Amino acid sequence: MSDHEITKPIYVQDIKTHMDTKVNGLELKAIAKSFSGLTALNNVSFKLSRGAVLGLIGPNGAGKTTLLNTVSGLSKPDSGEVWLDGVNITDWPAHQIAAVGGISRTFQNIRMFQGMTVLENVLTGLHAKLNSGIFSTVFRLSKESDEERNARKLAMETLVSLGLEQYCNRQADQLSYGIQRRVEIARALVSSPRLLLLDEPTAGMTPRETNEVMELVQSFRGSDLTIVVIEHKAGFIMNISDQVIVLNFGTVIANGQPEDVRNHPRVIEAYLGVDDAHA
Amino acid sequence: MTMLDISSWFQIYNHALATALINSVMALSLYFSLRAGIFNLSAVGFMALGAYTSGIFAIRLGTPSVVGIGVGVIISLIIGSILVYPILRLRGHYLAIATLSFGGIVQALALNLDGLTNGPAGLIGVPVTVEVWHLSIIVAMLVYLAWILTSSRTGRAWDAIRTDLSAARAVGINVEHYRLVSFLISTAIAALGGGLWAHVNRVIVPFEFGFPQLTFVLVNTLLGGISHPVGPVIGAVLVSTMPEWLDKFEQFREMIIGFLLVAIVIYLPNGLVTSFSNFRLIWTKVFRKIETKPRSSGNE
Repeated sequence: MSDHEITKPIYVQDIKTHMDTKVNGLELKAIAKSFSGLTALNNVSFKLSRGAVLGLIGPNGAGKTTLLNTVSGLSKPDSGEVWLDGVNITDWPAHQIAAVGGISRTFQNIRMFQGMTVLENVLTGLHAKLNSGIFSTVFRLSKESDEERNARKLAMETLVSLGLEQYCNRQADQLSYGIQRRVEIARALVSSPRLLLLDEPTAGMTPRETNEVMELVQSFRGSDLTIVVIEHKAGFIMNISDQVIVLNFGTVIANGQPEDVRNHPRVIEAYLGVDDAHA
Repeated sequence: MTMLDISSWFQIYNHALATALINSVMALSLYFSLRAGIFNLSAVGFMALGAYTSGIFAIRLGTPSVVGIGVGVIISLIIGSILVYPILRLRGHYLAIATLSFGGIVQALALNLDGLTNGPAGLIGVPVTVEVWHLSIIVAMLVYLAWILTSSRTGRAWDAIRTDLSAARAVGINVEHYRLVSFLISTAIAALGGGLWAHVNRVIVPFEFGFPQLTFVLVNTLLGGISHPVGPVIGAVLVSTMPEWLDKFEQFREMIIGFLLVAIVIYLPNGLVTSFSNFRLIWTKVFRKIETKPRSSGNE
């Protein structure tokens, strides 16, 4: 499935020229974040090369979602830096991180735009790639209608590639859980991002739907799209990841290849507890 | 019905019709800010500002109505763009209270700046230059503006902000910018409504721009609903003509409107005019049910 190629719109301004492309991928430097005394993230540092898939795992409350919020700019770290492709994006506002940085995300508790159709939701995902303002809309400039037509075409192509085209005119928040998750992924993918953050993309999905998401993530292998996935399904993570990071109490306790991480004593300890007899 | 009947009907209901249309303008003003999720109660304050500016220009300077109305809109936009920064840092109830206080401030100024506004007695003798057909064109243009913006990139951004602020930021929407634009459009339309009102009503009294008027505008907008731009206009026309239906209950008008507001919020949270897409959904649901009854539902 080479959909990533299709989803590149012709009118997208090449934002990469603004960036130093020598240092590729995502880099976190000593990120710390606490919520009124509770440490959510403690000195989290890692590198993720461009095009790689990172599996982020850890027990509940380990700080995985906080980490994604920090990368996408929805919450700012107390200290530390987030670098994307050689640019420090730590202090950028969230909308700029999405629009200029090219970071898209989905949410753990699905966040559809209520009352909008599936197609409108996906079109909203294209917001940053479009330029029309109030003036060009009100005076119906041809530029605006061309842009809108292209945007609709691109949104439909993305929906087709995810097998969602039959739902395009349905109200998004009235669809089933699994379909909403896929619509949310479509909304994140439509803008052809450089970094995709998936927060438990298969939670509440049937095994068949889970496999579809797994295939989707695997289809980006070899492309420039860097992906970070939070997931609790071990098989899923081991299958799709190039690199796995385990968080526990806001600290990175393991970082490496999936096989190495699986057998790491501290990971087993974090999930299963420590045997007192051997401690 | 002869021509004479029609013209006399217009003479009798001219003022009621003009009032209904002015209320439509005000309801549309509120539509723009509610669409972007701003519970903005400053519309009546800006209406007063627009009304007094055009009244003062017409009476004291004798300028044409267009000038006074235009200056009113510009002054409101200037004040609005100063107010917008502190106001839009607030959310929900806090925003409502802050914008509500603006209306109170304008009313207090109108009452106390005797030299300019003639105090509680009000400005009397504003030339009646605005006709029903002027108002009809303006309302039609505003509905068009609202409709075309709603189905555009801007409208989608407003809808996204209204339903989920964080998700809107995450798809790259500059939330502050779009909230500011919606607030300023709302402000300009409110001032326009006030300016027009001054030239319809001949008299501008501070008491007209108080809390009851605000409730009235809210009822108009919420009754029609904000899912379609026609909603606020339908709401405004229905409520404005209500005193005519309820002639005997004139003194209970405000009470009835209060009850109406509570009833709408409980029983009609989306207003009378729900979006056409919803309507189409229901329609296809019913239609398909009849059509596909013999077949099995093989579709997932």
